[in-house]
Amino acid sequence: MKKIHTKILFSLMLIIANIIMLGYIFNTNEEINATSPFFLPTIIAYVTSVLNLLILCENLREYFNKTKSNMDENSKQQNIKFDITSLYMIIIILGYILLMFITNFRISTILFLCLSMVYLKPNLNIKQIFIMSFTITYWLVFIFEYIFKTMLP
Amino acid sequence: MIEMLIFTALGTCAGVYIGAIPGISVTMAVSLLISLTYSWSTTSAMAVMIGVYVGGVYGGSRSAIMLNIPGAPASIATTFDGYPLAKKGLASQAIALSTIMSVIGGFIGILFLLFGARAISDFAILVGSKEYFLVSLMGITLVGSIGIKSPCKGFLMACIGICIGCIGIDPITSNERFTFGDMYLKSGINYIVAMIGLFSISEVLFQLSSVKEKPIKQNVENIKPNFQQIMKYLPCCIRSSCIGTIIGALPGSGGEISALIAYDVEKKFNKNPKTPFGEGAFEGIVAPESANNAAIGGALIPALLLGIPGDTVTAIIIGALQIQGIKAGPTIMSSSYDIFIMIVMLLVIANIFLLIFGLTGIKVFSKLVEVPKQILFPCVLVISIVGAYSVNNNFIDVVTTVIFGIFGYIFRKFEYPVSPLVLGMILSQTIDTNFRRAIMEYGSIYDFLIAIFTEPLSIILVIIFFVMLFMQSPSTNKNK
Repeated sequence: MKKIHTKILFSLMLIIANIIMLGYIFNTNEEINATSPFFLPTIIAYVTSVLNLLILCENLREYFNKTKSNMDENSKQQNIKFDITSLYMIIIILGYILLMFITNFRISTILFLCLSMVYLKPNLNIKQIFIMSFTITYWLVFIFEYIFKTMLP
Repeated sequence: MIEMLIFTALGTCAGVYIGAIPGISVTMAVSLLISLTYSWSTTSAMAVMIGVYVGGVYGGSRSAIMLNIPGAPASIATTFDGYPLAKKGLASQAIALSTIMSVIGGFIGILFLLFGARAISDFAILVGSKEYFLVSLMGITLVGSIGIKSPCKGFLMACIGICIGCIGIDPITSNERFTFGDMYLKSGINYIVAMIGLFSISEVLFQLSSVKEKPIKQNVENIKPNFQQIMKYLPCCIRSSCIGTIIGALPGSGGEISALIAYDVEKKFNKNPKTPFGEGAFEGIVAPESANNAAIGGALIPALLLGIPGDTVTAIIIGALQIQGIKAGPTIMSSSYDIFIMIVMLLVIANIFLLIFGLTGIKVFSKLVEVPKQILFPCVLVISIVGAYSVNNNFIDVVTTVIFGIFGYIFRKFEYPVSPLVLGMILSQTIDTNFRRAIMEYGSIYDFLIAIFTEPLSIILVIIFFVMLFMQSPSTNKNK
């Protein structure tokens, strides 16, 4: 899929989200006036509808303005790509939070730092990575638990 | 006197490093101190609190410049040009300049506090709901000036931010909004938690594609700006400090709005900077950094003279004074004038120490950017997660920050800026409560609009609002 197609698709998704929000507001059965808690959100929902449509128009104009050959060339260079490293890192972060919830901050952080550093491959061996992870974790524990009196999970 | 100097020095030094950690806010540090200072003398308690306050507001700029992660909301505007400077290897120079300009800004704020306190507090008391609403709207118009290609996308993100800021219990009617019956959502989403995710986690995810690239070598020669350089940026610093003090004096505004408005004004004022704004213009760090430190003096004006806190930190300072048996308010100038002068003196001392602590250790600190990304990124992620947790000691905040981080990453991929979203969240409550309160005050929207266009202060603010809006329009920006 080319960059401009992805952008149009994304703006359509935002329009759908906007419609859902408007639907939610109208389903609250609140009378919309200054005393209503949904007074500002309703105004903002209308403004976002207009802005979403303007962005869609911007994208469509960009789509129609470009000649097909130009667009192919352009999309080859700038296609929106979600880097695989970022996607794996998101999974590692989610795993870290889950582990922190199950175990505690110390164990989960040491494991997270070790795993993410091994995955990102710095010029360090396993032993150095472990020592670094251990030191950073306990430095954070010291700062937050002993200085800021924040009980970490 | 020596005790006062030692406590101020300790507070300022701690503040610089506390401020640099995302999630550890100055408010949190000062509120932790309040429990420690019960048995202390007024001078010692105030010395350490003022020191942390001054150092903390400045400290946020360090992580903003080096990692593109604002340590505090007041440093959001510093990221726009601070980080591009770090990418050019000029992090040390940027930090040194921001230190000196923060100190000058701080002193300008103190001058306002000392000589203009009465006039500014009289002005601040005149500001009603509709004026607050107009000032907040001005804040929203800033989205066009914060390095955004499409103003529509900027305004859309600001609107999303306002909607997210509306989540929770409505402050006027106490009804629930967008909570879906969830207990966590009832207390609303903390913008600091969102900010950590949107700036810190999304930044790491965004930069992971270039993780193998060699870190930028930082130039650590001639880091301290010379006299000519200081003189060059002094007009910008004075302009921004005046803005910072006045905005900071409006209760509830604080350093973050001051810094953003000062950045915007500087961008409009300085049409030909050596480097364009958003690409590493030194003016882009001078303006927000001098404004947010000047806002300290500004925030203390209504706090000390009216008993109305300018921001959350001054609210705690008022509390600390009360513990010591001193009542902030209109009578402070007559009944506790010595306390007023002591606070001014502490601000002066804290700013002198800020210059010392700010300018030392820059070389070592700027080497942080040279740490391989494979090591730096996991550490930044852990600090962000711990920072998010420490805001409310709540595990759900960690989940929220990660969700914001992932959404921030997706939005950035589609060229939607994330800073307006945070701006919208910050201004959401002010816009909502003041807009509705003003309409209720006047009876109807029609009467509210009539009042806006007939009362002198409102007319001035409306004119400024439309001028700012016009300046953000694409045609005006194109002409520039």
